[in-house]
Amino acid sequence: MTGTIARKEAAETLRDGRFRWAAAAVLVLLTGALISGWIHTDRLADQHAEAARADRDVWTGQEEKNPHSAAHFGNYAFKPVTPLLAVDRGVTAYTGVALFMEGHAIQDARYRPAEDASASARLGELTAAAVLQWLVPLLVVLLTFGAFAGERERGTLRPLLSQGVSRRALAGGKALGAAAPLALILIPAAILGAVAMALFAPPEAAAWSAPRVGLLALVYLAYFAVFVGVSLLVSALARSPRSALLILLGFWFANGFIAPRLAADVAERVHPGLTAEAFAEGEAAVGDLSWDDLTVRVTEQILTEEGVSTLDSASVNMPAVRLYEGEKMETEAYRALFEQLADGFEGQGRVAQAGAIVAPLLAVAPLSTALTGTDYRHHRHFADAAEAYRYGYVQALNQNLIDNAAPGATWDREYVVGEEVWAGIPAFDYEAPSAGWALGGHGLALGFLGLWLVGLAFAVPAAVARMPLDPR
Amino acid sequence: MPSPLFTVARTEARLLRADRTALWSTLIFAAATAYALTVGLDLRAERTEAARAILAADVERWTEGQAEADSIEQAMRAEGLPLDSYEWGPRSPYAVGMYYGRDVTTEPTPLSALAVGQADLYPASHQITAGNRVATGTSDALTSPLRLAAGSFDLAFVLLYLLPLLALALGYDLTASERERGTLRLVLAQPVPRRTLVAGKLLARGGLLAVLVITATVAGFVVAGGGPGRWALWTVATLLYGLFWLGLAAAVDARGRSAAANAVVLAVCWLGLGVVFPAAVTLLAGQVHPAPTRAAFVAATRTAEADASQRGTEPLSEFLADHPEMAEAVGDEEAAAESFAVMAIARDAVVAEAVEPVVAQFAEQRARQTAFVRTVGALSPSVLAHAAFLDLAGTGDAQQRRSLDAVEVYQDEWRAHFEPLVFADTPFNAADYPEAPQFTPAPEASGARQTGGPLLGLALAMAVVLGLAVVLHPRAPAP
Repeated sequence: MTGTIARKEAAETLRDGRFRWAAAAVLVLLTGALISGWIHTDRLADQHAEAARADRDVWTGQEEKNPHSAAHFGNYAFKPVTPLLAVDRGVTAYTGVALFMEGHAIQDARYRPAEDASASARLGELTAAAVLQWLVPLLVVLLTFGAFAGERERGTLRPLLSQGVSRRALAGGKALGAAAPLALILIPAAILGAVAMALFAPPEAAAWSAPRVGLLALVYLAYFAVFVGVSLLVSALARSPRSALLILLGFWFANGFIAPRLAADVAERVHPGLTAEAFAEGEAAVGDLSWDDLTVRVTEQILTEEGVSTLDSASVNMPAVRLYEGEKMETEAYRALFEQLADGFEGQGRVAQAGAIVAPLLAVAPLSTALTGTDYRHHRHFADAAEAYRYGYVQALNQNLIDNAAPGATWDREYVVGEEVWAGIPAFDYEAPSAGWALGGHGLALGFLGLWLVGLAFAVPAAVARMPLDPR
Repeated sequence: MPSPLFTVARTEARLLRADRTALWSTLIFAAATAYALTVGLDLRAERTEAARAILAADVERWTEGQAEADSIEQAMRAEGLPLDSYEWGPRSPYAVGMYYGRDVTTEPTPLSALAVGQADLYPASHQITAGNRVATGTSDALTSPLRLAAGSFDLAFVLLYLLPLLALALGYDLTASERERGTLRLVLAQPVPRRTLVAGKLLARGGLLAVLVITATVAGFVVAGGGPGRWALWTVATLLYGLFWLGLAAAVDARGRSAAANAVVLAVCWLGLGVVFPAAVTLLAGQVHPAPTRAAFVAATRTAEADASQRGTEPLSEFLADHPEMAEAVGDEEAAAESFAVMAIARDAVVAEAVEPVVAQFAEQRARQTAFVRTVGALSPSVLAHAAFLDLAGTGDAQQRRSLDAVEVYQDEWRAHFEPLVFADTPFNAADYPEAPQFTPAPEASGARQTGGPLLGLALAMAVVLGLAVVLHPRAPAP
């Protein structure tokens, strides 16, 4: 019986000229967004790879100099472009693309693309995620708002149920009847997207993306199911199809447009994080760390370890050891500061996700950005990897100095190294985390999405069982 | 006897007063406006405080430097030493001009409390030094990227997104329900032309909309502190924008379908014009005029820097050939090449020249993108209203360009002041401190001139839909 109802509903929808237009528009926008997304991603990936190659050439082509001068000369890490940027840009426009790695200092990635875009870019981005998060739910609402309210108003609900259709079967049929036409739009778009990815993306990117795309599809299916459920619920209880529509449009608008801003704003108030002033103070405190004390400590350490009375008779170069220890000291302080900043951002993200209890998009949007690798956590993962690399190579150069500089208390001005040392520092090679890691930080969002599904699975049949059959 | 139009409008106003949808829409709009004003004021206060703190710290550092230079000079005089030698510190043109520099900052405009625009994106300050041109304008981002991506809940957001909804809620059922219930026939049996009836209904609803808009903008300008000229322009832009959506609703209603059908069409129109179209224009602008990514700029800079440092003293010879007055100050080129500061300036010039084509290409493409969005985007009233709000608030592209230009001008002045001192190896005495260039932030543009285009576009869009509504209604299918 459910199947019969679903077939009838779907057939009616498909015959409707307005649905055909809407479906065509969604399909065009979705494939257009995906294809342009791929072109953009591809171009970006090429430019970042090219920049990374150029910077590596600059590094290995350095003239002979002191290893520590090379640590000051530094290295750049360019944020690798995730292949799924084509689906969802997440916060990538608001996080930097180039991270400078040098001795004595930690920086976050700089040059945020939004700084270079025109102001109107902030009215929104046309990505597949935008189509899936805003447009498809609207289509769901338009398809289903009249499911019960419309039949009730036309007086067909009572005769239908008197024919022995169970209310449960009716609810199931209506839900499936809305899902089938949607599938007719989403499946071709997904196939086109997959073909485009196969054409543009290198094989390893496709392998990385596959499990993420699968999970992404599940998340969006759950999102659409939530909208179908809410629509049926409202349609069952509303006084008229018109009031069902108005309530649902209000929900759609609040969920899609009000909730994200409101949640971000409230999150910042609830969880203020590190202020600019506090950050500046933290940076100044790192600058104030005493190198004179360090000199005393390192000198004592060398003298005790080697059992000598003056540095002149020691077997190592004191300034080199001091650089090594100083780097350690500064890095610890810097890392604590940046960790505080990043923890603040992540904390705000979690607070915003709690809003998913009223607006499901607040769970879906973070999951979508997490799975496409475009959320802040992925940015931080990259920045942390770059920081680990920075510390590693700077200390390797300092170690080289310790091992080779002339022993004593004074800086060895004569000691220089060349290409074999530069080439011996491996290039920064970033490996993006797995899909499991991506979901790891978003238990709250997953929980809320599950809660919506379970809640609606109980609420819709209950509402259908109790709904009035005659117009009021 | 009052005119029929007035009678209809008065009756409609009474009906509206009893309408629950109108009441709820009004309440939600008022609450959102109040919240948006607190958000905007908080953000502005935060940015103002940050800017003032940076400015105060900079002035303090500068004054301390001068005082320290003065006390060093007094000590030198006491010892009978000549003042033409100096060490690293507040008397060194190298330290002061190329290392300490100055932090410049621009306070947020008063109206940034109403339209945050791009103001949350740009660094609060720029460090100005000589010999370091390409590094200007970057700093660590301290605002949550999530928040930036979501956008601010400011008055501009309420007017751009919520006001259309309010207008649509007031207009989607202009005559549809009356037609469905059959009461429209009854009303038309009175000696009232249909056109007058529709005009009267629009007048009453437009009146309510106007009252709400004016209340919101007056409240906004009172708390944010903007002048009457800008208030008038802002209010006109908002009214035209709101009336456009009301007119659109009335025009859709003229098709003679049910209220629910109208709501469906209008929701799609809102999404199309307000969200999808602007996003599509931005996307197209990027595809038609692609700008190189910053990664390319960074790579070009690095390559040029490495090249300059490997060419030994050549950059200095080139620099001196280009600047004969400096060659005179330097005297012995070989001795000058020993100076780290002199070489840094010479290399910076070479690097800036090498990177110039990338920077120019970048700026050109960006200007083309902005122009593309301005022209093609004019087809969407939302893009027009957004541009008008940001231009009037001084938080849009144009004002940002002006303030960056002011920073660049200042940096050039700073370089021009300190480079000769470094080349001549002259100390930077306490008495020289007041002579150093001072930063003047870019004056805030009135925004009125740029607003002309958007206002005209909005007026045109409003006239078209209102005209359509008034022309189509009498032709709508008979009730």
